[in-house]
Amino acid sequence: MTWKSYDLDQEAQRLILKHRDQKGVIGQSHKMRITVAFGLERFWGEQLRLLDKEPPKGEYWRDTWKSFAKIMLKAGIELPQENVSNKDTIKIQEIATKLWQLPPEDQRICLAVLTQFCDSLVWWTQRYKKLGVDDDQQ
Amino acid sequence: MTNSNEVPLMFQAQIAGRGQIQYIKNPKQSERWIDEWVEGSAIDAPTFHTNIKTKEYKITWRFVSNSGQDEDIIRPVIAAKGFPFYPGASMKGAFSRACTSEQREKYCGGKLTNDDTQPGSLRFHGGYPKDATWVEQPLIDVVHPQQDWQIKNNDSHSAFIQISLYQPTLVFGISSTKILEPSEWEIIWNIWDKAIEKGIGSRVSAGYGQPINQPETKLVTFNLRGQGLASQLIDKSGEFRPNIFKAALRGHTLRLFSGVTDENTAEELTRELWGGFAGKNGAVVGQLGIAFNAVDLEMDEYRYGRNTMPIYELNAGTLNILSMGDISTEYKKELRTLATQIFRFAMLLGSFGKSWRRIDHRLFFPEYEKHLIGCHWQFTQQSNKYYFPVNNINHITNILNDIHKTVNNWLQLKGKIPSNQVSYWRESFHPQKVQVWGRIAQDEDDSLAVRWFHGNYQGVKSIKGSSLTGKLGQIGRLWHRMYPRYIKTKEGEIRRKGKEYVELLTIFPDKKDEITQDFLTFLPTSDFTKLWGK
Repeated sequence: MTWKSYDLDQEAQRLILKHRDQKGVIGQSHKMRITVAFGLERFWGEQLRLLDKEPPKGEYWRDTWKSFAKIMLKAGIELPQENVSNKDTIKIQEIATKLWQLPPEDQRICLAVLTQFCDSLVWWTQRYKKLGVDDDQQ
Repeated sequence: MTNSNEVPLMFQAQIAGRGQIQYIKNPKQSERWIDEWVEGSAIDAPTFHTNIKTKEYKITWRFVSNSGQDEDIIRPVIAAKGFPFYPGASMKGAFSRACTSEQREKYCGGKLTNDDTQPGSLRFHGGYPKDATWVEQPLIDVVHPQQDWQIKNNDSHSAFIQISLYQPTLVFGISSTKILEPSEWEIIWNIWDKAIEKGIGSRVSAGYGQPINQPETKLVTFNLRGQGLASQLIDKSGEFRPNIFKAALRGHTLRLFSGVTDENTAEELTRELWGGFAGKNGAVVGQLGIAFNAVDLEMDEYRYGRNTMPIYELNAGTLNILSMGDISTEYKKELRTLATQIFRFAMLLGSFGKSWRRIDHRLFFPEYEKHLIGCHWQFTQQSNKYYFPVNNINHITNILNDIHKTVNNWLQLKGKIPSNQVSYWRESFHPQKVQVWGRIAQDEDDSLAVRWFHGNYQGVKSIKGSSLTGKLGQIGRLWHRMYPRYIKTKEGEIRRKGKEYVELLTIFPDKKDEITQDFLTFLPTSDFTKLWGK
């Protein structure tokens, strides 16, 4: 088996560059890193919680989830990628079920990658945050 | 295979349809979250290492250390093994604010001139509940901001859930890198006494996280007794919640300021005094806070028919109004005058907590045997001097003028411009918006107005259930108070006059309402005299 790069770091950089212009958004990277500890469902759900209240932050979470899902797909694990509405309870429960039905082994792999991915996001956040911009958490 | 509905709430998405802990309309979720937390939490309290010095402090009411980890819910910081925890970093911050600059450098460290930092000699280990009894107390705490609804208009108001600890005894730990003399430890704990006195955790100005003693921050003390309906926690049990004082005082401050200046200035000054949210500028920490210690409190239930309602009987309690910031002696004096007058005003015309706009029917209208209505508050002996003496009913006019003057003085002290424009708020205390009527009542059985709320006041005329008296879901425009009558003797002593009360009606008339106008035409023909307002 040869070494294969999943370009986590490059993908993280792309996300940060895409979202850095909106105030307070990339500061969410720190929250993401903390949320990993609570598992895939909680991480996935944050986009929906935020999309209504603070859309730019919600978009960042959604983008991050989609990038992450694409990376995992390359590694052979399929994660839900579709856009779900905050009001669509049935769909929300369906996705939650799907996530918890992943074999524990796959969940562990996902969380290990997500940890690494969030570490990269935090790293780029610290480099690309705009001076004087309130990022909630610095 | 995992059933996704059985996954602990912490691991579920915080959205509708999944584990939305903070959703107040479904308290089952927060109860489940508490259960999941408590179930996994350790039974034995963490103990500090033997080389760490410790000291215990009892918190008078609730304590919350917001972890800030979940955005929509305020819940404690949880340490290893599940125990709630006051973080060492917070402790260090509070400690260093109570230090002199030399002490700060020595104990907490700081920056040296060459941009290098120097560590302090102390390590702050934070605080834990002394034992596991905190799990037996109700942890879900409902926070219910309702100022807009009560004073300004009928805007909707929503409550939210918070997780806080009820009357915990917290043990704090400090260690030193060097061996210190006992005398130095005494200095260190004195600094911590001073630090904790300002309250620890969140919402300290509303009475959360307050220790029992406040020798340094105390601005003025009122000794009180009172009875009435208790607040209901989410599990329907009753709790006497000291934040009723803050709510009442903040509300009255806003009413009084809006009587002498425009709404924006009134809000700004109120916010400066009591704290609050300032839109884009974030939260403002108030200059005033409250701490309440219930010395003798009994909780009970009131029953009628099949209903039960939690009630309190506070036989003795001490309310401290605190000065939260570092301020000059001169300013402190002014602040004390203002806070004292606002509190005396609150006692004169209303009471505290639920149903504060009405007198306690059990005391003044015992024939009434339905819902419990009203509450009754008095100063106890030690605080008699805070009663406004009313030798003559017309003295109320002077008293209210004096309060207006105090409020106006504050406006000037703050360099704000008084404005005589009339506020559009419903309960603004402006002579053109409010009328105060009064009479002397001989004793408890002599409340005239209480009967008007439950029957006709004259012939077939009635104010019962009108927009003046209010009904469920709608706040009325009338306060009714039986204020114990105290008089000033020739020797200057303040003492109770027999069993007499000053019966007071505070009315914010709706000029377009016919029932109100009829009632105002009737009042001068009753025993009541108009004492304030146009």
